[in-house]
Amino acid sequence: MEEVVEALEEARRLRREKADWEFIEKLPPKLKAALKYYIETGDIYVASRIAGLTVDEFNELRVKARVPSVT
Amino acid sequence: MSRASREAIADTSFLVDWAKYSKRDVLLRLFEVVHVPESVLRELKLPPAIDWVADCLASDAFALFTETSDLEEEARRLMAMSRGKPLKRIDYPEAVCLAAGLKYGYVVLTENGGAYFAPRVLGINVTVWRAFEVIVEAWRRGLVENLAVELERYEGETFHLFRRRDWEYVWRLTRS
Repeated sequence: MEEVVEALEEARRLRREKADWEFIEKLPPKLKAALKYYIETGDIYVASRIAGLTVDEFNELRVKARVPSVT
Repeated sequence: MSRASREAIADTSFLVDWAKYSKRDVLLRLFEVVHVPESVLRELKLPPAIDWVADCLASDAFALFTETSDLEEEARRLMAMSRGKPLKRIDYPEAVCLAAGLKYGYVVLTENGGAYFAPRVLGINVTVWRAFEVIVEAWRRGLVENLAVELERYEGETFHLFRRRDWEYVWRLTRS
């Protein structure tokens, strides 16, 4: 279980560190909230629901915001 | 792999990144068929994922997977099990894939952390692979040449990063 928690922590840290926060802060509230949720959780499905986008549309936003996908 | 695990089921989190990978078709050489649930297909709208998935469905490399009521029930049971555990909970699309993996022996392809760690955290008997495990398996079977180069290519083309522990595993594997 310790390894699982460690993996999730490392993934979160990488997403926070690599994200283009300047880009994210300029986004409309829904998209900004969705990206912040994704950065904290890595959950693309719920993040896409927050954004009001399909998962693949949200994935494009993720790449533009320079948030890496890490599992 | 056993005969049953020559079939896989993919969720959206896996497909949206994997479809951007220039060597994405190695997946078709690892599995006889990759099932794509209807709930996953609904989340694909844009190229390259939608074009690639449509091509694969047309060539029968992929098969549309329609959720049945018993599978939906099992998926909801897994979602409930994941709540209260020290990991991100599992959402419905991943839960459907896990339920199908349990019922039919499919390898579950996902990049969802909750689903990836579900066998360990929930104690369920299902094989779950990320792009990492797919590329390692492709390398083992000689479908890609240099494992580290291939993983770096995947990172660059999809903006998906592998964890430190994954890279340590690669160094051990390629040194031995």
